[in-house]
Amino acid sequence: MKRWLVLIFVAIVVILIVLLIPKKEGERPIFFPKEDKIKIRLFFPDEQAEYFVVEEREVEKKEKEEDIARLIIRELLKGPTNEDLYSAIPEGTKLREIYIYEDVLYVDFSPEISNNHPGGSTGEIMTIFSVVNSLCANLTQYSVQILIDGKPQETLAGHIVLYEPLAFKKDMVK
Amino acid sequence: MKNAKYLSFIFFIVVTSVFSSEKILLTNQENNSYIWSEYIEEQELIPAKEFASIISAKFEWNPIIQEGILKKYKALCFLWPNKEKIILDKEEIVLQSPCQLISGKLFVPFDLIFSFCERVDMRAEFSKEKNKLIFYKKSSGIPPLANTKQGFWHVLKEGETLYRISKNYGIDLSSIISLNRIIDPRFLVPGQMIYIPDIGIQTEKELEIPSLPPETTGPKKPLVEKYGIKKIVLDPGHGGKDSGAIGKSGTKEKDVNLDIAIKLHKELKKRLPNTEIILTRDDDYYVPLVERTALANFKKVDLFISIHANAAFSNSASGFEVFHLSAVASDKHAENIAEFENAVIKKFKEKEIIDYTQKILSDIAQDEFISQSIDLALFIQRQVTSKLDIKNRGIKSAFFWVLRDAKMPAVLIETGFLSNPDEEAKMKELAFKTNLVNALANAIIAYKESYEEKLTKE
Repeated sequence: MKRWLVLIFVAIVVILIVLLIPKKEGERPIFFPKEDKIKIRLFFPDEQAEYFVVEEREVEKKEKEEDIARLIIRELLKGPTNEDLYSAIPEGTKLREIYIYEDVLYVDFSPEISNNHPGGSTGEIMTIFSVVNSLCANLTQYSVQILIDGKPQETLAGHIVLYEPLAFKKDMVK
Repeated sequence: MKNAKYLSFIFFIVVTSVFSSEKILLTNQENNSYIWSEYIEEQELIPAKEFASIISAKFEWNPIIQEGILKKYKALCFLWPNKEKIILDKEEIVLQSPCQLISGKLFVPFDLIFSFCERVDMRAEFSKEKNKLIFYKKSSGIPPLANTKQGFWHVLKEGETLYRISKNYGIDLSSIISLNRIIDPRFLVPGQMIYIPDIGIQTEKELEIPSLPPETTGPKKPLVEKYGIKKIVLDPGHGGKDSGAIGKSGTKEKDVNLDIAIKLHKELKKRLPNTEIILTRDDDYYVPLVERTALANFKKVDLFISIHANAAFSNSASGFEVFHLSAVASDKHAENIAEFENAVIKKFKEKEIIDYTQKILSDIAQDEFISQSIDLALFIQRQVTSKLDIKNRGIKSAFFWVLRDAKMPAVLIETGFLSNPDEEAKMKELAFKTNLVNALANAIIAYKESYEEKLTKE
């Protein structure tokens, strides 16, 4: 019995040592997460759905751009903290995946983004560019193409061309 | 080295602005114009409109959305007052100083001028001694080679497009392109000779054109007959399996759109008996987005008007807005469209070949269609806001299916928000619908008249 306890104790010590010693020089050990944070800018429509208003948020710093994009969408799906602003992402929408190929960032959503959409040109523009602007403003070198259920789609709510990568839309930003 | 250049540039901007008069000479070696410049926060600014005209570019200022568009060939630049950032060919560029709106005119800094010229194969040089901004062309145009002696030469003026010339002389654009062996109409230069064929040597298709002496000022009526607005498509949005937006009390957008479109169809038929008014759907069925414009393109329609009702995530969003045709985003997109249209046209069981010349044609015409679409949008907006008690959300543009592929002036009208309970109720009232239909009919007729009047003046 005593021997078991000693063994377990030794095992715990070994695990701790592995976790606390940095793998490479300059890298922090796993047990001390990075303090580095980055500010991201999210775009939410105002009450009249005429303009986007920027909300800044701090998120943990990521090396890979796909991971940054994932964080941006995760924050966007949470909705705005400012009560005067609205989320332009339909209820139930989930992020499926993020891909980067050449200079295009593909963001793949679950079908709810289209199925639960309230419709209207304005509503559709707000959904699309809430996503596109939030990604483009933080990852400036990419244009953004929205995929639904893993595939490029003709449209999200019946007005806007969704087949092509889109760039930051400036004329609706306040 | 680069630093030295940069410093000397700043130096002479400072020197010139301190010691010289406030006028700068803009020259493209053929035309000179003196313009007033503004000196703000150590930066020289010149008016965008004058800059555009000296390099034969187009500059449009939209006072409603406070946005300027600078366009030449396919280079497209968006500018906003008090912002350092501009968008040049989809790229965001940060200028050293912001564009400024001074007494209603948009002024741009020098670095914008240099970057824009670079995009359109031109070079701009600033000479400090003479306070002169000189523009050079990097490549010259392709000399025309006419293979026939019947006809005459037209000297290309600044800002003139082949499309405009073909309209003025009443000659098919594709025959001008092929006779002059114009490989790429984007590389035309002012002063270039364009051969205008005589009616006699034209092909079968062109013989339909009434023989029109090009230089006389008298018989302008044929122009209206040939180029006036004779066919209008009304496109009620959504339909069938696609309900569009749905209001809190269950109003379906597809029904509202159809109702207004049918009423407008009836009104226009009554008031424009000689104009063909076509509906993309006349009942509750589904029409794919791309087929709507493909049909209008195939039928060679002169105006495309899509009718929709709006919705947003916030139920207090309200108002009326008009979206207009905007620039085709990419060559790839244009190719896809051509390919698709070929397929759709086959579906309509008609023979049609979209050849290279026709693709060029649509490129040039696109410019015209954009500015006409903005005109139409403004007409509609003026009428609707004066006749109805509804908030005006302005005219806008976005990458709409039905607006991007149309080969004609096109607008999309969002009549009101079904997601707003008050507006939903309003849109069910007969009085509102009647007023709306009247306002839209007035606007379309006023636009048609103004457009045809312009034709006779040219």
